[in-house]
Amino acid sequence: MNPVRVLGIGSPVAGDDLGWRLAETLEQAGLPGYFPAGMVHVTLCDRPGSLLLPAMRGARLVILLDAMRSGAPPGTVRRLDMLELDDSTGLLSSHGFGVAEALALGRALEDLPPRVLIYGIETGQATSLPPLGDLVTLLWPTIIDDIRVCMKEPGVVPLAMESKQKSGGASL
Amino acid sequence: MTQSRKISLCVPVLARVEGEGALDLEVHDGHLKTLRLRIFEPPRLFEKFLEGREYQEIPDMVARICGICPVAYQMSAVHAIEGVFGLAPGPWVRAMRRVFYCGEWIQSHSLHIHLLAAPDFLGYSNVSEMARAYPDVVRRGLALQALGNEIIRFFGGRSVHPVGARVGGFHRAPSQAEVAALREQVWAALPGAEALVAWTASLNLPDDPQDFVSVALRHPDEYPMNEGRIVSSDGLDISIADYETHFPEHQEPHSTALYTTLNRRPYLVGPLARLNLNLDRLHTPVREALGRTNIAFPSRNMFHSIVARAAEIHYALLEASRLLEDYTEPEASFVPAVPRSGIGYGCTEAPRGLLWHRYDLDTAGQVLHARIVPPTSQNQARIEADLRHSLETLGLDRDDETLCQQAEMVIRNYDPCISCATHFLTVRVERR
Repeated sequence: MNPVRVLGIGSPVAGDDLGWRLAETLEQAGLPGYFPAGMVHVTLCDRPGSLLLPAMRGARLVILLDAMRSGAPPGTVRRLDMLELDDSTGLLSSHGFGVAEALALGRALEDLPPRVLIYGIETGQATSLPPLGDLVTLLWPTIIDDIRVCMKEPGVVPLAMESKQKSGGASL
Repeated sequence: MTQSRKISLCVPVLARVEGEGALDLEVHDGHLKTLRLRIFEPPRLFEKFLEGREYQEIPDMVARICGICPVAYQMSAVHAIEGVFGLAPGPWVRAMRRVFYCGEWIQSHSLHIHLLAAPDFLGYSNVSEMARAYPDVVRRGLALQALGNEIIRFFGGRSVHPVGARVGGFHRAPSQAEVAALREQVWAALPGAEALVAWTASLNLPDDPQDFVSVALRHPDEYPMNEGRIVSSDGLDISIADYETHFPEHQEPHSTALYTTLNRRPYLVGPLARLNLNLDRLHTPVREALGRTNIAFPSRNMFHSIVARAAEIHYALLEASRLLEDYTEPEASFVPAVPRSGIGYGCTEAPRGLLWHRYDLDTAGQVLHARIVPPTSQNQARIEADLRHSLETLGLDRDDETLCQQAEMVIRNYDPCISCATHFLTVRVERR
């Protein structure tokens, strides 16, 4: 069970795959390898609906990457704690039961990880979005910080992993 | 005096009806003058997309029509194409396709019961509200839905738009160890599914008997999924190849979806129609579970659809368990196809009802012409008839909000899969 999960939300339909492409790019840029093995896992979720809950279960920190439409310029990134999420957030869903609804259900069932962060990326026409590389450059330091904060919490990094880190296993 | 009011409602629950709908009501002197359910049916576009495509591409293309019932589209397609080629994939493929389909019924029905329908009958506006009062029920429903998805992923490689099915069988056969592990999960879910039948029957469902014709597949030995003849509650019994003769489609100006009728009348497809026509094909434990409820099937109460869905979940788990028992790996997971020209028909039971396909193929197996009739198109006229009956029974003098709530509940009860695009039902009431 990976304590940190980065989930790209979307679908293969053109324009709805922004969360996927960002997650893929972060993975290709070496996000999981930046931390001790087994700490961070990146997954692409195809319109998970309520199945977002099992995808997050057991994690200490979940970072959701999803398209958003709130009227801001395309490419604007909005970082939200799940506690801030409400109906006006503008997260997109190609089905009615989207991320906001799944998180509300998880809250009602007390079935959520301790921390869920949503990176909503304002979408628009594909041509009006900044290059993915620029978006990843923008997201990278914040996401690294989010994961570092999580790793400082007691019990997140197993003892064996901690000693490996101290002996120079992975750069933090 | 003319009083005209327009109401636009944002209805989050209806968002989970899988699409967009608009309802126009015109009331004259307290009588319903006009009722139009306007819906948009994306599968129509696919028929043209399929033309010129190789037969091997069809299962993966039609899986894209729906994120909730891709297996149904794949199964209707492969059976139609195999019909043209004269291909008989054999008992292993037949059995595993049935398990694959069980997975879809389990996930789709669990989703509808818990996330869409049950909040209506318990007085909640959505499942999150309902979950606070019924956490264990919702958890059980989510677990069943996840298991259904797992079965689809097991054969399809992924649960949304699966890619494991092909003409002639599957791309891969699971190992005995994998099957044993899946069967354990299926077995473990059975008590919950049986309890779900009782739970749905205990809901305070409206008592609203109506006169309607049920249409479903019927198989000589088993509850219908992939095979059978098309039968109706008023005596129709035809081959799937004769569907077009008996079920003409017509266009209504207010809807992009075609209407289908039987003897110029609306008819019902879906779980309640299937159950009404195939009670004797259920496994004994499911019949016994239904017998312990206070509901007599066949039923003329459309709101008993939720109980029928629960019974089909129970059935699908028992059937999957039966079919996976004594599993052995086949020598090959598919039978190679040799293309030839001709017309083929496929008709299977999607979670929402009869899904009929016809393909005209050339000698290389390329699609010359395709025709797809999804269940929601077939139920469209029935939904309108039900709305008319239900709203008149409720009383057209009720305020707009009450009429809208009733209309939404009626529509949701059919689990229509309209499109996956928008989030609003717009209801316009015009009173004179």
